[in-house]
Amino acid sequence: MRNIFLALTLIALMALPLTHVFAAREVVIYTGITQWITKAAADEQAEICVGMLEEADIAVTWYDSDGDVGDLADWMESATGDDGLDICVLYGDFPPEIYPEGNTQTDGSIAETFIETTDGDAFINHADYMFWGLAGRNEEGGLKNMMDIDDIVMWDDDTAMTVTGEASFIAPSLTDFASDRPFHVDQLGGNWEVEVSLAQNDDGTRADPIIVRDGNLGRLIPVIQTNGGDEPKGAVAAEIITYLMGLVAVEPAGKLSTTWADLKAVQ
Amino acid sequence: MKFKEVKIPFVLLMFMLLTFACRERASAPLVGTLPIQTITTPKDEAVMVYVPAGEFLMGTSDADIEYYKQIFPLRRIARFDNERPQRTVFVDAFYIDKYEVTNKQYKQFLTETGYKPKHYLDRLPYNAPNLPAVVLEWEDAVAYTVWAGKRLPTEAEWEKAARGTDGRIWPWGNEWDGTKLSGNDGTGLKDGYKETAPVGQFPQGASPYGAHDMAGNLWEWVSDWYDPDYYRTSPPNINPKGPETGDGHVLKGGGWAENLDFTRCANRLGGEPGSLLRGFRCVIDAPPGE
Repeated sequence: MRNIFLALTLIALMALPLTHVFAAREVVIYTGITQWITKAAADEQAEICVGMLEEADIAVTWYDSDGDVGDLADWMESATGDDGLDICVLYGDFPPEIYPEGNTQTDGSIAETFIETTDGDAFINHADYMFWGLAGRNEEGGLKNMMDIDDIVMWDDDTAMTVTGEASFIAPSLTDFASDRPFHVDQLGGNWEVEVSLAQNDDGTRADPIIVRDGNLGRLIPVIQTNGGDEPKGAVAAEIITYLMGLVAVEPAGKLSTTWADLKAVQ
Repeated sequence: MKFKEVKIPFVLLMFMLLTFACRERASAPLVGTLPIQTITTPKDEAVMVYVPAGEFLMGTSDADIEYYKQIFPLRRIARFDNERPQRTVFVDAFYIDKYEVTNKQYKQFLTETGYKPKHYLDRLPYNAPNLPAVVLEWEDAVAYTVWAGKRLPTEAEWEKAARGTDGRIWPWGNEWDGTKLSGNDGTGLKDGYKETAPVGQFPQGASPYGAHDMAGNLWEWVSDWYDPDYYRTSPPNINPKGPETGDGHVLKGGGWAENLDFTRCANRLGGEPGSLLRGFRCVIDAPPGE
């Protein structure tokens, strides 16, 4: 009897770190309102993303109606500071339920708090200007306030993005394309730094997709910011998410030196 | 007999005087490839350029597509489907504002009417008097045109005013030149302006009829509803006014943050305009016989 008790205790202790790594991580995709991509196209890409994540055993919830924004906000609050990497995927809109419109809450919004813990939580954004919001709710202020960088903007179109070496194993679906709202790497400030640049222009001042991180806090990940383009947004997002989740699961050995096959195997 | 010979010009003169009672007609220097005729409308003190009646090439041709494959190698060809096929379109003569409506003009309208725009960017760095007014809602642009006694151009009128009759890609021709428009990489290094530029700063990029900033500075509203398939529905080739309804209204010309592709005269965007910064210019019909 005593041996059985010890064995169960041992199993429980062994399972604890695994629970810590795998249970508290989740992906939420929101396509209730979209910008620079039709809802139908966004749903199509989201479906691809969901399929790939499920295949990789990554928990994902897809909110496909603007009536779901309350649930999105609830999820974000519960996911904040839960010691797990959580990722929210947006298609060009930034719901006021997580970031009050008009930049009326420049600090401490649900969305900003989400990326200000050591969970490393992240926003992925497709299509239009990150955090601009439908009908210009926030304009440039959304990105500036979320990053606490006064001058950062996301203008430019037709910026040629060439995939980097890292992209070939992190996001094999990504090919060269023209970004309409690339991330301005040369405007990074504070503790924000480039974690991985997956595609960039010749001098590296513009990038898309790119993972930028606020020190050891949260991440922003613009992914294929194009107006009406039919690039594989969903697949690339899923590959980046799978990479990040794998990175957490195999820390610290699973950094960029790990092959794509290795990362898939971890899942 | 002698009386009649005098009377006909006299009637014409009176008609012109009544029609253009408050307009001052003047000749302008050659800009682009055609002699420029201008008028100035009194209410908004806007200089307008004349676009004669006639046909022009609207949309994107198969030959254009072959060229686009070279200059836009990273764009998917399907991206240009809403501009095809190219067709010959006739529009009546009209006058179009030489410049985009400025903040000075738009604020005059707001002051005189008390109109409350839904979304007008009256803030730095967009609201200097000589900068184009950033009017994000189509209805707010239409309200101004009503006050000014004008109207928004149709997409066909806008495109003819921008590219003339020969189907050129940009207002100045078929070769890209980043010094001929307010369109840049957000640094101001290419055109001297970090964001929007005061209107009329790029005369070398004027259209064949002398309209400035038809490429770049701000996207411009036209009156047509947007339907990506409209060109494939065999729309009328004489004074087309767009579909009965659609996914928002058409935007033309690209903005200060845009470069090659979006500043093409044939380019058309609709639907939710998102972060595209947009303004407008007005037109009036030319008197019969012009």
